[in-house]
Amino acid sequence: MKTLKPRLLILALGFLLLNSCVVKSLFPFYTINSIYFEKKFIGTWEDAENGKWKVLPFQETFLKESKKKNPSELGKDDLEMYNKYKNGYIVYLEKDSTKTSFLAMPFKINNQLFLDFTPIEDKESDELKNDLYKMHLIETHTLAKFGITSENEISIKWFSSKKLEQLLNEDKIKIKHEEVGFMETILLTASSEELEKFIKKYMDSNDQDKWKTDVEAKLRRVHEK
Amino acid sequence: MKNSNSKLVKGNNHNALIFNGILWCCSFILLLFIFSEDSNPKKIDFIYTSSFLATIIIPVLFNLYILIPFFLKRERYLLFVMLFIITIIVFTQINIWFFSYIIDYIFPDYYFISYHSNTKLITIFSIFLVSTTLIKLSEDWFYFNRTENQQLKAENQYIQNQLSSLRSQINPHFLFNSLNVIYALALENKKETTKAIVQLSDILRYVIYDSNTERVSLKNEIILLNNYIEFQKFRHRVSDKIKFTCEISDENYQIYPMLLLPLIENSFKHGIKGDIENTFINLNITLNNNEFIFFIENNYTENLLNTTKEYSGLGIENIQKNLKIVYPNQHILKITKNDTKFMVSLKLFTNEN
Repeated sequence: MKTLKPRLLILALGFLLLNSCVVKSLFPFYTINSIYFEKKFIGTWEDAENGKWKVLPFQETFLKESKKKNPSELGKDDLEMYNKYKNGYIVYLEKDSTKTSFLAMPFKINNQLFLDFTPIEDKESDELKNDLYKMHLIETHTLAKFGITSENEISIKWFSSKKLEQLLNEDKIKIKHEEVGFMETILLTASSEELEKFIKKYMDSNDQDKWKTDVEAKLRRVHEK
Repeated sequence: MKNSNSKLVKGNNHNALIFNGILWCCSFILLLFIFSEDSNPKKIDFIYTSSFLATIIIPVLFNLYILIPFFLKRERYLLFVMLFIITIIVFTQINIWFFSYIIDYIFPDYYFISYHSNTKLITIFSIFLVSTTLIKLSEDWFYFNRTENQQLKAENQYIQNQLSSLRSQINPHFLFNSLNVIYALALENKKETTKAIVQLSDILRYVIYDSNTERVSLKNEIILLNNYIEFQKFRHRVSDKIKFTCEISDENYQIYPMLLLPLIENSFKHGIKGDIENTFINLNITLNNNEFIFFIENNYTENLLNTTKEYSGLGIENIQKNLKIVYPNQHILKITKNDTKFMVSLKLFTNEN
């Protein structure tokens, strides 16, 4: 017990830093009608901390990994998944000697592009033999505002959970959510339709700090040889 | 009666303030409970519930005060249903617009959205409009039923007054004739005078005390008739010319009091006359399977009837009025006459329908 308490505190602090940064949702932030494929995101990018972002179209990657040439060759379940995410991207991120991958779904609301990130794979944790810890985790969706500064520069700003907490504490927002886990992290449980309506309202607001966030990636295109 | 009816109509007025006050208070509490999702309601929940309710109030009031009175109550059912559905669709769309755009101008610091799908909104609006329609119709039915009961009570009171009035016409009429009989006996210094007074006393006791109920047994009514006939015999001395026969299956058969006496009075008045030969009264009462038949016939001379025309119609007229009130559609009264006979038959029956 003597050693558990400080460990829990460290663990809690770690969770706080990692988990409380961005808004998480049980359901996607987009609906099928708002999906908008943006070609310019595809390519290899590098962030300010030397992290390498490899963005590939979902369609090609999925067919390649399934070793098929055409979607018609896919099985029923695979075809269903293919059609569901065919306008998305697979994002491979290598950073600090870790390798992770995400499914990023692009969508447009009020002429603003957004990305809905869902984790696919974490190579380090996948290699763990004792995967009891991993069994307790669920994949959630995060919302990021996607900006194209130029042909070779883009920015990805995640919607800050601090901002959402502030709105909830000030009683200015009414949206379905739960506080989950050891750290009572806020998890949105509203439907995709409601989330989309909220994003639209949020974008129309005059709040100057609405996209102020601690989690932002400014990416520069890497021209591979 | 007209005055009482107009008072009743005024009493039907629907109190819109109380009705809507209760309706919308209950609706607010219900919706606040639903929208707060089991947690303690916050300020934002109160604002949202009030705003949501505001979008429902307009179509509900439109339905309650325009559609129901002008279409449903005037039996324009198809038009009502069409307008009812259009109201639901239009105001559902207005609710969506309200929470998408308009509410931002009213509460600019809040991030309200339309939280419900079209189907869910249409369901909520339909539930509200249908349930308030049913509540309004129930309220109308309640008022209608109360008014109807009050009208029935008023009508009943009116009938009672009318019956009392008719009875009060019989009593002095009968008393007048009876006193004439005793007067005639006294003039002749008859020893039967005291007996006649006792019989009249029995008759009057029955008339004053026993007949003041809605129904009496046929047995008691026959005793009255016998007393009356015996009393009349003192005057006319024609006992062998009066025949009274009864065939009754049930002595406790209930009958309206004093119903038959005016008919017998009439026969004595116009049939039995001391100075006319071949005078008679034949009286028969039968009761079989709840079918009551009263038959009376007496000798008839046109000249005599004409001379007493002023009084002859009163007994018959009274009994006709009484029958209409106390035996509506349950009686047949036949009055027939020929050159020598005047006949009255009365049939009382239970209307099975």
